[in-house]
Amino acid sequence: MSALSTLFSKDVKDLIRDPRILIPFIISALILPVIGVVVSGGYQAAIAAITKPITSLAVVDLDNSSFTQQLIQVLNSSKYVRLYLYASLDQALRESPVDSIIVIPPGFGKQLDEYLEGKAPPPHIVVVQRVLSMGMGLKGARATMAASVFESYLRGLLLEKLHINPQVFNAVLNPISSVPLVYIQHREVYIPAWTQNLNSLSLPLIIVPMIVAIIGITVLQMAATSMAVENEVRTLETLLTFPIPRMSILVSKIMSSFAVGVGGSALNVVGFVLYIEIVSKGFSTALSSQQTQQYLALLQSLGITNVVNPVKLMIPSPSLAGVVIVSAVVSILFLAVIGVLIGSLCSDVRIASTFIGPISMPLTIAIYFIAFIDPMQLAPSVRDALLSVPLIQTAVLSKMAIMGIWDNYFVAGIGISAALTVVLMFVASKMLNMEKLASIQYRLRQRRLRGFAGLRLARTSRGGG
Amino acid sequence: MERAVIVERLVKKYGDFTALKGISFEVMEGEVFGLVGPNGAGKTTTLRILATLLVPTSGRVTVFGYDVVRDAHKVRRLISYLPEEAGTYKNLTGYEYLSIVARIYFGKSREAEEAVELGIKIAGIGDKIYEKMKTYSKGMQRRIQLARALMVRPRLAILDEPTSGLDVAQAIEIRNAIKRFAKELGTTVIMSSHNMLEVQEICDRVAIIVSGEIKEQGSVRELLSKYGVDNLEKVFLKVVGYERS
Repeated sequence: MSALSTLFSKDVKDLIRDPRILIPFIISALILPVIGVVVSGGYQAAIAAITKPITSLAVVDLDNSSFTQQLIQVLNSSKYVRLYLYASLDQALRESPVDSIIVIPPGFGKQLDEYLEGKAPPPHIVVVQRVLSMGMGLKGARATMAASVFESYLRGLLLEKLHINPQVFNAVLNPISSVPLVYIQHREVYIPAWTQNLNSLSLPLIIVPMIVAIIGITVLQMAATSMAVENEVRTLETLLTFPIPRMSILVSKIMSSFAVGVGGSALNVVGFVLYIEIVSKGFSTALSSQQTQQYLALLQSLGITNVVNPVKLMIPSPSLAGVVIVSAVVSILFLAVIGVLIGSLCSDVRIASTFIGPISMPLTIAIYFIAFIDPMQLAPSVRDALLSVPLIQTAVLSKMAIMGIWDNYFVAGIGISAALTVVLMFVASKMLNMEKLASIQYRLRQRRLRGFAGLRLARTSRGGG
Repeated sequence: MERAVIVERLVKKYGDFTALKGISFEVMEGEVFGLVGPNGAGKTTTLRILATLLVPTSGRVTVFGYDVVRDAHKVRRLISYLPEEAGTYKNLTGYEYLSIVARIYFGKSREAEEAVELGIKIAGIGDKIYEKMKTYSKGMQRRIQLARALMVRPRLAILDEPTSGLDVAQAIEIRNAIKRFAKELGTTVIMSSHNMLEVQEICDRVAIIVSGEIKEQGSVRELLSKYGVDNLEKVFLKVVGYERS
């Protein structure tokens, strides 16, 4: 125990004092919120540019019917819109000071009459948005806005022509206003599903698996690097001649990577959560607080009081939180053991990194998959299989925990993961043997050196003498 | 005098390649024994087997009566090993490193504190001992490693090329430290080296190993007299037959 604690303290000191390990943690914690601010700032600027009211329009009337002339007259007399008329689209594109150009095709008026009689489909107009440059590629939305402005004037003209009361028309067009809610059955709570809350509802379901992935992959990388450094600078050779059990060396590496990885990832996670928070706020199209209050008052009058913010769902019930934590610990330990195994088989950090990449990538893809699927929609056998694989299990479990779902297979799944971890630890402890490591490293290096004048180099890898 | 190390018909194969072809030698307690030979002769392999890092293909090796395979854990309590070009933990200070090793051997005890004090003395790098080892020169790193190996007062110190890659001044410092502390601590030393003059200066007895076979062994004086030369380098050249070319 004394040797283990001594080794643990050595490994932790060696890791946290390594700027290559510490600086990325700090940078990612700082940079993610900054990226969030930049992205949402850019988005908001683009939205502001798009949603700016349309105060002028260019119109090319190729129909020249009495109806379109009447419509142009209405637009011309409007105090809200300034109109520019052109004979052709080419001329409008060349000369118009306005970027939104409406082209009324020939036959528009005739087809509108037929449409009103139910004899033809609605007539078309073409809206061209002239642009010089693109920011976030959203300027096309201005064309739709210009069409809406044109349409609103057209609608007013038609209501007048057909002698329809505008209030009645609005009531017929929008007879109700709905207050959508999502009821989470197992947690017995309502989530407001109007506008921005629809996005934030899925936020915790995505964030939690992502956080698990960030921590797991960080620990995997750290364990592999820490062990590969021992090989690279040949301190492992010395360590293996000390009068200590091999398991102490292994456990110390696993625990130190776990401790530093989880601690460092906490910084990462703070940065990530801030990023999500900033971006989601930036992208939301919130209802006014007055409207929200009206909705909530209505719900309260109906006895619906347990309406919660989706972010609060991230904290599950104590029993499910316990299961998620146990699963996360087992998963991270599993990855730490894999990291130590990889690191011990690699003669330097660069080789270890080339192995970690291909392992992290499918794990990340799998976690992304889990983040965006509904686990309850999967076939039970597939779900159970996913619940048996370390890390993926934690991601699935966290999603189910958020929804308050308990599955009896949780315990079995964690048991399988724990058993896998123990078996892997046993294998790794057997691998911590110079004879085996030298032989595997020799074979790996020989493979890399194949086709190269390898014999002399290969002999060197066996030792100097 | 007790026999500290007994190596009997030691064979080590790596796949098809035979690194050691049945070598035998003995090292007496308190002796400084040199294993010399060209690159690829089998010196490091022999020392790694003695240090319980590698397992012999056949033959038997004992350290103070303990078999290096069967009683590996007991052997590890008696030895300390300095690998060739062993690196250091760059982010730890020399003092922290010596303290960690002392604790591994002796736990939290007075003995551990004494070991660290001795280590600091052997290292002899002054206040640099409290700085991170990434700031150390190669010679300083080697001195820390040597201090680490000797401060635990091993009954057998296994030193693989202790002065390899060092400049002349650094090599002399390490050589003097081995000579002085091996005698003071009564430690049996088995070391490998390319440097014949170094071996002649430090070692009581020598074995010349070539292509996995011991071609010659004996005390330095015996070998000089046998080959009628005035230094070990000339003995080596005669034994390995380089003189002909």
